[in-house]
Amino acid sequence: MLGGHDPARRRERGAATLETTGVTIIAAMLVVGLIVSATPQARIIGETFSYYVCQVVTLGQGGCTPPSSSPEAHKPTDPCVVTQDGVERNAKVSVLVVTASDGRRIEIQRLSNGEYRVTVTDTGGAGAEVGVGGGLTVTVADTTVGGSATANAGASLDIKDGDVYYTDKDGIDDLMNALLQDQVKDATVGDSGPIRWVTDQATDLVGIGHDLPDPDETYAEGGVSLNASAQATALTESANAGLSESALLGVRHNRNGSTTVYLTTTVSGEAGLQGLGIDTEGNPQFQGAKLEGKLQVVTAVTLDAEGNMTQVQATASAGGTSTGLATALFGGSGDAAWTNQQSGLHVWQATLPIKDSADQTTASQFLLAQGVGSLGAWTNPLLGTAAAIGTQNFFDAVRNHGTLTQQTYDTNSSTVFGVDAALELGVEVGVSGNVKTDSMTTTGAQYWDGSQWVDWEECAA
Amino acid sequence: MIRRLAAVSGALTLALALTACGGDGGDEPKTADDPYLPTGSPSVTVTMTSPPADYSTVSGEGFSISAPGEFQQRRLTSADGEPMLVLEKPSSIEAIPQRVVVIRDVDPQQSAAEQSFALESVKAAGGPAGDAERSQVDVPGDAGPAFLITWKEERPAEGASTVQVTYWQLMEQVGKDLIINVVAFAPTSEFETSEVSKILRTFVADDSQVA
Repeated sequence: MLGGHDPARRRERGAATLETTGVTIIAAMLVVGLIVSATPQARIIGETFSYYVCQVVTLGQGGCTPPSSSPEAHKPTDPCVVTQDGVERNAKVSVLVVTASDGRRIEIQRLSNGEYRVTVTDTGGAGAEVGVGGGLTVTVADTTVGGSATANAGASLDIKDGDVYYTDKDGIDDLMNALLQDQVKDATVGDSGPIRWVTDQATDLVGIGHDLPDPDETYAEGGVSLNASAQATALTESANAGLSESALLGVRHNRNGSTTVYLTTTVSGEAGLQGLGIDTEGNPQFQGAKLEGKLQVVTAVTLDAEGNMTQVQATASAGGTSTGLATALFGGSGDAAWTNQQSGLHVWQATLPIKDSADQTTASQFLLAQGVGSLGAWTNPLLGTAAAIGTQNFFDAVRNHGTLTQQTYDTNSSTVFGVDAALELGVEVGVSGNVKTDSMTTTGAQYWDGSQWVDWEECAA
Repeated sequence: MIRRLAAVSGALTLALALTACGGDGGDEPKTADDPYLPTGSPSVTVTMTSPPADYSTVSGEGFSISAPGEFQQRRLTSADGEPMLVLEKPSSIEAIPQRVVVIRDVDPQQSAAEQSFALESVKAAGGPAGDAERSQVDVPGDAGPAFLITWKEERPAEGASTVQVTYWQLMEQVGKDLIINVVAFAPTSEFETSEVSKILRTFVADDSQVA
């Protein structure tokens, strides 16, 4: 044996070195942990410390919980709606001949980042519809508006079909000119075909043409027909007690090629929460309390062009008796002023970006709890397995490394008024049906920074 | 300015000429209120058909459809309280029969064009493996438009196993207040040899009440 080197001993020396290194790392981290434990970053450092100790002890094979991110990392990056004004076309462009009272609607929202979000839709919509983020709107009290337009009177989450454009302050004039011109043409010569082509060329030639850009987002809604195949497959109701079967609400096409599918589920009382896997007994705030009311939860699943899930978002709007349900489900606010608020709209939103296999499993569990086995070619990997319902895991993951927000809104739609369609269409001067303006303002906004609710300054009015 | 006016005048003349010879405009781009109409070409063109001689015709509320005798008939009520017709026979997989279901969508909030757009989008969202397609289909009578959406998806079979199922859904706008859906499905492995797609193609809406 040349040199007298024993390979086995060499391996043992290496093992000893690894053990020594591990102990050294743990010792060093203990010291560092003690030093920084009194700093504002103590929680995250503590989680980081625990994570690496776990990794060393289990040689990287254990189920170690990674540290949550910094408070700043939890701050929502998507803009929120701070004001909204909607004007219907049949009032704005009164010289047009309109054939229905539900004229195409252009809605302009000013977002917290200074951008404008312009939604163009053909549906008239009833009641006051306000955007609450994530492509969703809240319809308040059906046709009841004004002073009674509170969540107590009934509010439902919905999406609004149509095209959406985003622009900045410099671009809003051109966009509106293009939209209005486009709609003048739509109403007079149709939105395509040879006459429209000629009209477009003519307006360009005389220098008054404005190109309408491709929309940034396109929304479509559905109802019974959209859900017919699910009903045909199941034939019977299979929902858990207190939990409605998840139904498709609609879809959003995004310019980057991704698609967002919206599903809606109704949670009824404590039985519904337990159907979702939420143990309210574990929440001191609701110990012994019997939670009542109904809560509509809309789950938005975004998949990229290849069908990979990239984000799952849950949104709920509540007021009155359903506030307790929402608070239990989303983690709630420790702020008594928020918890006790009984009027106005209160909207919670939990967003989990899917970054690794753990997120995928968490999202799959959350969707399975709502009865979602597939979305086209995407098949829930837990389908048919005896996997535990993991809704609480979803909200834990969101609190750990996602985005969790809550907002309150004051709706003021008392400006809705009707224009009596006394003029016959034969007169062809174009004003018929209702002319509506909606408005709403955010009255408060908070986000979860990883350890507590903090004010979301940009989204407060 | 004069050149511009001349150009406009010429363009309008061209427009009138095109209008005069436009006829039915079968190949013309879709017009007004139809941002959700199909724009691509389907891989397979599907046409509605008369029922074969060995099929029996079944009537429902506002429609008729024909099927071979081995398909059992059930009349149920859908989740929204409307009558629902089910025609089915066992397949090789117990959990997934060969089935055709007719479902009424009364007072729909969205048109068949928009709902079929949404359905195609949802089924395509999971990636190309779903083979989601949508096409506009000519249907008998004055009703319509009608859209056919086809796709494949995994459904639970036994235990932890899943089976791929092929779906066809016909969505016909019978009138402003009514869409009738015909959903036909069977395990993909036997869809081609099953009768479900042929049954779907015999569907005829009663458009006598169409305004």
